[in-house]
Amino acid sequence: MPMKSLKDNLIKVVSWAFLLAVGYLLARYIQIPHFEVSKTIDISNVLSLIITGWIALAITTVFEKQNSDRRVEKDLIISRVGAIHSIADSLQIGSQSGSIHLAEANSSLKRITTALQAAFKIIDKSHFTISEDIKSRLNNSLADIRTSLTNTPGVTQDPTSLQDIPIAIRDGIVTYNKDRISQLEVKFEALKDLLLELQIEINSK
Amino acid sequence: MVIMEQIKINILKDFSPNPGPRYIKEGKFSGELFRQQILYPKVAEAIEKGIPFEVNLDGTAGYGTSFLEESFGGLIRLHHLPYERIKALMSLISTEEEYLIDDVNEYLKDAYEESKR
Repeated sequence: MPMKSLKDNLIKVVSWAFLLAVGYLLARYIQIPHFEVSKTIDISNVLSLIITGWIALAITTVFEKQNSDRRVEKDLIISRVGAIHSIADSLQIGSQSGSIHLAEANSSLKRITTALQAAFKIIDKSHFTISEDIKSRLNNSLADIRTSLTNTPGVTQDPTSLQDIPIAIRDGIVTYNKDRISQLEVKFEALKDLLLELQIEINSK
Repeated sequence: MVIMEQIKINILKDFSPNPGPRYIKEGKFSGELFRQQILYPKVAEAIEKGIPFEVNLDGTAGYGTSFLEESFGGLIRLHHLPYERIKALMSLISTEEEYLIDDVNEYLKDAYEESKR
């Protein structure tokens, strides 16, 4: 480590010396028509130059640090949203098979919901905002999937509507008919599109 | 200082970490079982004594729509408990899934509207 630091400092010193030498040689030997190079330097100009350079350097450093922090922040939130996408993917695969354990569906839905709410809370605390519209569309999409996945009919429902039950449950295993499986496919794809839209919106901030 | 008596129901501790389907016949830890064994006796007691009751939904592995609908909607639909009294005395805790509070209130309202028909 100390060797690397020494090497870096040496490179800096040599670079500055080289730039100064180039500046001196340019001023000494190159004549620019209609311009006169003064042989004396006003000390206030030197101070002004040093301060201007220092401010420029400080501003660049601060902005670079801020930009870098925000990039890291955004990348972390985007990867968090990516993890939600993965949970939705495995739940979709489970429902595609036509039957899924209710406990698995419930816990996956809870994981998606809590991870999404956590992402929204982190965004609220960070340096950027996202539209309420995307939050609302995501919440609605999730509520829709939850109902389609876990809402079994009650006995008080109209018996004629129960002839081809889209969802039934036995021993804690939920089974879906073909129509419900197709509906779930569409709803999961819509949810994943919204998650992608959220990632793009975060990235563009 | 008067300490107000309150009935507390914690689904995780009092019932199960894995709430199940709607009906007992459909699987373990159903909404029907929860309503019959835990929710109805405590809510009925709270209404009779006129004391508030709190239902804590946090800590479980998650709820299916049918479980909550059967548990809370059934209080009005099957046990004929008064909607206004339930609403006045009930407080719900759901910090993990805040939307569940709205859902439960909706199930109660739907059951009440249905019972008026």
